[in-house]
Amino acid sequence: MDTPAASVPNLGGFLTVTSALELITLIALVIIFYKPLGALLYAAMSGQVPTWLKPLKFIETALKAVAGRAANTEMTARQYLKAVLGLSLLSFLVVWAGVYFQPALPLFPGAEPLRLDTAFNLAASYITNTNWQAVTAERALHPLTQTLILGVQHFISAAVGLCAAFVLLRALKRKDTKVLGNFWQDIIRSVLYLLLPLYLVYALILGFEGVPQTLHTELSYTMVEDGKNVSAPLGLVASLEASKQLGTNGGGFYGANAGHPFANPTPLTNFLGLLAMLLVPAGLCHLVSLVCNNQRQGRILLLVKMLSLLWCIGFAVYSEALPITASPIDSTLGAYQSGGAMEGKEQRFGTLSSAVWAMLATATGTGANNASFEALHPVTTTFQLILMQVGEVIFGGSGMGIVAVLLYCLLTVFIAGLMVGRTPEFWGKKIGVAEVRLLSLYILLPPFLTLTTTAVVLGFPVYTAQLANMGSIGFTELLYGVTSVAQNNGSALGGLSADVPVYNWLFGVLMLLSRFGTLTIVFLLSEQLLSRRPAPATSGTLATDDLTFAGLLLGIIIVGVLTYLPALFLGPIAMMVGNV
Amino acid sequence: MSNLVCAFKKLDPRVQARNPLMFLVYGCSVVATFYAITAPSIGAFEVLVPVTLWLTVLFANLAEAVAEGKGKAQTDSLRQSRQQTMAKKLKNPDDHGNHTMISATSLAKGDYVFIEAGDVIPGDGQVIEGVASVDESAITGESAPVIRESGGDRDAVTAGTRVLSDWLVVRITTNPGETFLDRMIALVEAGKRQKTPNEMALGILLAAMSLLFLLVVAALLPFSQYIGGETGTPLSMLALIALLVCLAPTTIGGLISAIGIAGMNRLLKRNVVALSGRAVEAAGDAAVLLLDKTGTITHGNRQAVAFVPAATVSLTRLAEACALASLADETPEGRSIVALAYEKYAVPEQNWQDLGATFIPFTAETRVSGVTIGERSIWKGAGDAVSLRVSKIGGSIPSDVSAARDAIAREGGTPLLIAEGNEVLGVIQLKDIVKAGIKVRLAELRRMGIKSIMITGDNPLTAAAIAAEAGVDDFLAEATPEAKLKLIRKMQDGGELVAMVGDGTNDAPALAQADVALVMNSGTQAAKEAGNMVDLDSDPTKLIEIVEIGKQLLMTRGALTTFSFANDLAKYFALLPALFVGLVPGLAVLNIMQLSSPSTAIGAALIYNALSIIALVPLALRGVSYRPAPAGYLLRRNLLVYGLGGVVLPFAGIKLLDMLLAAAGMV
Repeated sequence: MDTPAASVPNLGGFLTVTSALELITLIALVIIFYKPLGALLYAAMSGQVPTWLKPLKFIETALKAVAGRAANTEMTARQYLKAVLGLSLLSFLVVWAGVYFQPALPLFPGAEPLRLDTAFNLAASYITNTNWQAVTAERALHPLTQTLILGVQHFISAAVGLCAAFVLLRALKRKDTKVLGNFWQDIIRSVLYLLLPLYLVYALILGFEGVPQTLHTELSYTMVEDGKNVSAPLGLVASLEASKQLGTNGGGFYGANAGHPFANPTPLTNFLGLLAMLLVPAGLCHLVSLVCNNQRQGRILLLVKMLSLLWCIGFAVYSEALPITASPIDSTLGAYQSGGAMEGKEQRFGTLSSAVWAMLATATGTGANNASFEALHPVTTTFQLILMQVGEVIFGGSGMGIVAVLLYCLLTVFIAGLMVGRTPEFWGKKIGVAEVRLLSLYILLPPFLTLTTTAVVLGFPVYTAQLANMGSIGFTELLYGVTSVAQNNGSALGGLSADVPVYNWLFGVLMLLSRFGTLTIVFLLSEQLLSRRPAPATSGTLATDDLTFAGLLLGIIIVGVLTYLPALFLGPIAMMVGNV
Repeated sequence: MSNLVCAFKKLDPRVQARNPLMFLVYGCSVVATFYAITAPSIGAFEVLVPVTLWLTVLFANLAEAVAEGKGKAQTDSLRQSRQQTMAKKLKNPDDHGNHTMISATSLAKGDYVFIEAGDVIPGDGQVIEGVASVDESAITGESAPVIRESGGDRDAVTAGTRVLSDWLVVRITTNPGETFLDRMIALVEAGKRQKTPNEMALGILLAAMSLLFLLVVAALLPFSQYIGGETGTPLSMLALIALLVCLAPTTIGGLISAIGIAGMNRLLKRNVVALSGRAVEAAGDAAVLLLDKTGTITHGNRQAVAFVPAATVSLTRLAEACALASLADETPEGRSIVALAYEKYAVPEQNWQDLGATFIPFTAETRVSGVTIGERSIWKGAGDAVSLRVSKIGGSIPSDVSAARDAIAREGGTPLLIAEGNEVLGVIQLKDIVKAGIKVRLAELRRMGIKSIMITGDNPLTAAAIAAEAGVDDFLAEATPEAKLKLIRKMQDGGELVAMVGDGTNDAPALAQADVALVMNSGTQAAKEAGNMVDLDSDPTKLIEIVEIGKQLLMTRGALTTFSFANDLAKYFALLPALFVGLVPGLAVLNIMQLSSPSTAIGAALIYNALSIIALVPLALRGVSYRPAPAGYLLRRNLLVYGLGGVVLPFAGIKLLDMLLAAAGMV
């Protein structure tokens, strides 16, 4: 066999033009799709549905008829928050009980019992859009548990995030009112007009590409190597994979996630997986444009997100494509392997796809993986941590990503906006004492959860014993795990064996505190912003839709990242410079 | 020198606790001193760290003290005079003879005092009886005495001013500690000063940042202990404290109070007393300025330039009538009419008392004035007022007169109609002189995004002509107190902040409604109570300056905040490798600034940090330079200077200080 690299120009390391084309196509598609996606999101937010979705309208009407008044009157921020918390509590109890009692449920023959703490952790994880999986899903969970109990949360938790975004946007836009929409109506519309259509299309494509979608629970086969009979778990994989990627959830059917050949069999499914993670977060930028009736606003937000992401991707892709010089590792490009650091990566994807995936999974809050994150280069790990720690600003999760960047905009306006000699305002709404108080809480909560938890846990051997390594690597494994749950991401480095009661309880609580703490702050802030009467823009107003503002926003994001720099120095950066 | 003493006095922890960020630095200084003293061996590092930390605290104190000192200098002499003032308190306001001498400071609201020539007015109040000339130079710096009298628009007196002639009975309208003087002092004294909303918001953010960095640094101790294990070098407490202080935005934290005080000082320097700091900030936000035409856009006094007789009336008769009608009119307009009649139309000079004339004074109800001489009654007034009155007594306005009136109005002049009995004789053309330079000022305002609206009692035609000449964006003609109030409400409903100037009692409702209300010191007590700023010079143009001061105050705060945050990048790169190199030797490669040693790196960063506070004191006091420009331009310029400068400067500064420390033999 010829070496494929012979005719392909090299971009440095083992990075080739063809592999780079994948990235370019991905970005092009995001830019093409972000507007239609934004339009769909706007349909979900406003109820003004495009013609081709009209046939689904009867479902909304029927559901609202069932719900009665509750789904038809607009709510104040506090009422809305109560409804969100109420539904989340219900979801939590259903998932916890459902997972815990799965062996006893009629539809779930042969399911294994789970510990109470594992079930608690899973429930907290799925309702918070984190999808941290303490267990190997296909072994510990019944296929129907995955679809009927956890799969439902893929939609609900994603839609709750979208609702938070709708509320904040309405608060920024509306005046002279105390109400911010109806939660039940918003969640029905989000699922019906956005998540469901995308999901159906995506799941069908996955099915065509060979992802299993079956009620058979296992596939038995004989190994070629030793003639042994083994079995691979099966189930409704395609649908779960689709909803997991679209709703920035990340909890797949298989423990190996998108690295598993059934979940992610072909380069096309892999590419779609990348695209699916970005679609909703990018579309939300256009939703902003539509809400404030200013195309430039959403474009600037997308630009900032895209630039930050590409910067991270650049470092990650380059690091993963570097040849490894230490013997006896052979990282050269050959007939039987892609070049670069292939440890822990799938042959069918290569280094670029794996690196890009690692960046997108942490940027968007999806947390899915198609390679072993533990085996990634420390530079990649550093940027994964940064993307999580920056708090969903760079694309971010379903709904929460745009919330995060809007709150960062408020912060930017507050810090730099004073420089134009006016009380800072965003879309005419003043950022006063009450707003800054809530914004401060918002920026303090995640570092508080991450840093204090990591610091405290390091003092307890019962926790540190679960780390596979010592020193900087062990520290990175722990920091990564805590960051992942405290930022509702859900990805993990392999080195932390977290399915023990101490971690399950701790991480479960962290996920709940982070998600619902953040949501509470966002709703209270929305209530406060709603009470502000917007001032009309003049030439004395700081523009929030130009390149200067984009630069400022980037600057504030960098200042946010600096918060974690000391910890990163001791973790992955120390690994990089050779303290292993 | 006294500022230095003051800076040390402010080391009282109760004083420090007012500013959470600086309190953190203060706490760090105490802890660092403890660790340095108890260190096994005291080297240069153990001396340098606590000393620099204390200097950081002192520099911040000094900044505040200097700002306070400047304000105090302006208020001290006034306070001195006030403490020695004695007041003649009346038991009964009608019985002037029966008074007791008490100290001015013990006067309460509602007390009546009697003030004679030579007395200092003991408290802010309202004249209820008498007329007197008052020397207000103590607060205005204007040496010409002013008249204060009861019942008019000049009934307000200010504490600290001196009665030159005659006597007044004054009802005190403020309690001790609430006079203008006290308010002025309160705005520039850190301990008493009420923080403005924006400053409070920034304070909250800075406190949150302090907490965040405290968390970041505190977490490093267990992190480093875990990574170092048994063998690694643990982080030194002094180094951690240094990191914390360097990362916290101490530059803005140390100067925030000085910036606020200095802003008020700038206002005081222009002889404006703000009754709250909030109003000054609001001035920076104002989107609409309501400017009185008279005194702001045009010179206060309109001049008569021509008489236009009705077809049936001779010019001589008209000129004589004009002179007669205005003889008793002491307003500048009235005098200009008489002067015009004498000089241009050769009317013989007369004295109205000799003619046995009775003066018909101008009232808000009739809006005409004039004289009656025997049977003759000659009077003048604005077009609508005269036509109303003439039609009541069976006359009408000839068409050529109304044509002349409209022609004058269109050209921006003010037509006054003059009538004898029910016969309209003609028109007096008064001309407003638009102030030189006002057009440029208004254009600047427009660039700043501020709309100017001219308020005038003139008719719409006159108003439009002057508005066009002066270049205002809009005008409100024939403005009544209700119309002004309505206009302000409408603007505010649209989300705009409105600033206005006023002086009369009839301005009070609108002043109370406006977000920024500048009242002339010559104005009435009611107006002063409704407003939130008083201009001691009674110069309506000053509103524009106040807007600029407000903007400059916010900009200075924003610029130093940005500078402070931008500094962190360099500090991270200087400190983190230095801090961790003992633990992870490989991190030495990240010492991109090539600093000599961990100790010099930390020392240099700390010294830079302290020096940046003291170096920026002048800027904090002076305020960043401001010129009217659109927001985008201001942002880009300030961002370049304070943002980019804030990123670059510490790299250079820390490197230089590191070299100096190394050269001094520190290792």
